Amino acid sequence: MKVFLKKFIIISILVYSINLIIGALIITSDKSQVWTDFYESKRIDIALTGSSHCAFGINPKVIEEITTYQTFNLSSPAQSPKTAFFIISEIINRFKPKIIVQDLFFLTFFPENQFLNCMIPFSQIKYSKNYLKNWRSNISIVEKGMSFFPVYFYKKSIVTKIKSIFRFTFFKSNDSEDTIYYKGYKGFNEKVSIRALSDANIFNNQFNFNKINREQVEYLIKTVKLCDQNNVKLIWISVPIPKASLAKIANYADINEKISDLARKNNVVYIDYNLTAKPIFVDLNDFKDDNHLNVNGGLKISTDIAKRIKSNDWN
Amino acid sequence: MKFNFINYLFFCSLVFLLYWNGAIKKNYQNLIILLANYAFYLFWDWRFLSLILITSITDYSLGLQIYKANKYAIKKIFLTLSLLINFGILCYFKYFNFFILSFNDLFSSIGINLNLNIVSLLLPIGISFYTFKSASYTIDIFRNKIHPTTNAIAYFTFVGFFPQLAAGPIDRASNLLPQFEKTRLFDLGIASDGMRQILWGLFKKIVIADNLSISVNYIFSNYTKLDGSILFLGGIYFAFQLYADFSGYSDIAIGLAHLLGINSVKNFNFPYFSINFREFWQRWHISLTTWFRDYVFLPVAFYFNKKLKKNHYFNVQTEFWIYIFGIVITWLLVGIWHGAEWTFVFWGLYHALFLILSNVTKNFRSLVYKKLNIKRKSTVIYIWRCLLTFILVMISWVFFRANNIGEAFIYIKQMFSKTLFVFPSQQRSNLFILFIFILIEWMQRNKMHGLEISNLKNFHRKLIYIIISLSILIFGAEKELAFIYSQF
Repeated sequence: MKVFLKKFIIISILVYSINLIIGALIITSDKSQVWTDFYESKRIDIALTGSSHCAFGINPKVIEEITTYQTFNLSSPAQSPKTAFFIISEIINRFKPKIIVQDLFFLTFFPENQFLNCMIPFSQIKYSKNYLKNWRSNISIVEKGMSFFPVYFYKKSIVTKIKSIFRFTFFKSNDSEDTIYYKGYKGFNEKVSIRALSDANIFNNQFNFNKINREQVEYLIKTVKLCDQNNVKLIWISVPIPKASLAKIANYADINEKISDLARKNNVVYIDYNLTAKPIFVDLNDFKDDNHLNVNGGLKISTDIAKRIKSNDWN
Repeated sequence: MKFNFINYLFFCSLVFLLYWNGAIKKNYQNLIILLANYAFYLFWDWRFLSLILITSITDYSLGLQIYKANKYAIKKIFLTLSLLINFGILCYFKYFNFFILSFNDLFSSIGINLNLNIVSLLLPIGISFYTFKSASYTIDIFRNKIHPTTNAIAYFTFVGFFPQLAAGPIDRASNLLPQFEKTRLFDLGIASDGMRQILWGLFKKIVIADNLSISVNYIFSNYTKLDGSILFLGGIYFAFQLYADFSGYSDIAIGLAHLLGINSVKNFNFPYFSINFREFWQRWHISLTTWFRDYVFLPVAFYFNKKLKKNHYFNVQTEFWIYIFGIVITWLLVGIWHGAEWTFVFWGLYHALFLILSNVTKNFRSLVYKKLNIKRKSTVIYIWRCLLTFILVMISWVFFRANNIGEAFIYIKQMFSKTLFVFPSQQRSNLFILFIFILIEWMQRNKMHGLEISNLKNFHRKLIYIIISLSILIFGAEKELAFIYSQF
């Protein structure tokens, strides 16, 4: 019995140690230029948060040129409202910006285990009183416990890396000649093909978008309160996706209505470029893939947002 | 309590430490398992604990009465009583509404509206499994195969043995009860192998089954819009989801039993490497198949053997008629055992048909192989027969998964349409992990389970444990699903 327990404990320790090492490697390899630049910034007037749609779609440089406000994009892949809350809290804590533009990509509202895509941005945030406050009050006991298993928490990142190994692109630099980087914005010059839109469209695989996760809505409301308390104007937007992709989402109008309703109740401006906003002309040349804008598209949307901010026109 | 990894791990660790604790007397081993059984059942659904107690008390006392009775007729009365109580409870909870609805449909088709009301019933967890375990006890005493136990705690522990409670294996009294009647001693080799089997079961469930379920749910929900090739993939995925899910549970159950020093029966033996339906059912859910063989097929065959006096009926040998009756009745019941749905009835009869066909064409196939000078044992023929059997079994799983028989037929028709030969445009991502899984299973096909690696060097073994543990954490589906067979 003792031998068995000893063996079991040794293997458990080995598994746990490797789990910690992989976790540490993932955090180190994902230590992004974005966060380094963020902490080195002297002033941020407009902060952009949200999913990859915002990271690839809204260029701070365009906004700075039109509004003269210092702008920074802190969006990250699949950033959910819960993750965004921690990031916005850090932005407000450090820079007290005038405006926060939060991109709401509807898919980040549905998964039950939202903490899974929260950990990477959270690991980038510097330790501070604000960090500890959020850790204490906004992360559940189960989440705290599970965060001791980084291979589980960074699984998305690990799976992406493993997939890229098998596609032999692991060593390809993310910042290749086709990309533009500026204060968190990553612009891609490539254009989506019609075949990719029909055959390999991400929305071919999606179904049942009926139940918005309640926790996400709670964090949106928390974000509204946080911005109100700090006198920061909060703007919600939904960055456009190709019409062919939009057509595959059966109940997008319902989702839009739910978010619009939430925005009305909380007195927040909501611009949905897919459905209700004043149309901006975007076509297939403006998208890098089935759901992200490229540099062309980014320029159009960033210009529109900047003009709205400058003229304070939200209709 | 939700049957999830964390809760279950904590629960089992606690039971294990208490069970082998040196400070606790060995006499209390059964008591600890018994308390664990009932605690486990209470967490699932406390309301149905009374049912498992009724079954246990009934069969324990009737088992003694059957043994004590001097006359055959009295023994038979006690056995009938035991079966009536056991299967009465099972039928009421599992089949009452099915029969009411079927009667309503039947009579409305001839213009009579019965409008019998259905009753709102929940299916008690594991009822199909523990009822069969307990019923086999009284039948075996009646047949003089075993002696009844006088140790009530041992018997109650056997019926509700928590690792097997939700989804088997249906371990019979002849195997388990003698083990519960003795004191167990810790065996390092058995316990280590138990841990390996648990790890393999978790891998199958969390990495294979739960990941495949995402594609399966999508394909079966959108089958009218998808190409035949994608539906074919859906069929393959469901076949492996079901296998990984159910055999994964069995591996965990058998592994846990090993940790407690109990040797449980093998329930799966790499079934998708079978070369015909007969072999498939010797490898799939073995404990259920052998139960039906011993308690349904053989008695039915014996009954017809007595009744049919002639050597031939309609120019067919009586022996063959007996076989057909036995197979059809058995597989009808196997289908119904899985659930109160016509899809399961059809699925059972489908397997009966192929078992009969396999038997009928046996000589003819041998002749064809001989004429064509084909070696049946060659690897190519072996793989071909495995593939053919797999595809036929996979088609039957469509009935198992579909909401109704009509839906299953449309799915199959669509699957074998022209678009079957179109390269699948989506849902291919699971193929890689499935390939790895099949490869491991193939390499281990002559072993007791997929992770029986006691012959490897210590370093290699540890490396494999680490890889599998990390795979579970990294590749495990985000959403944990209930075991499919725990719903039967």
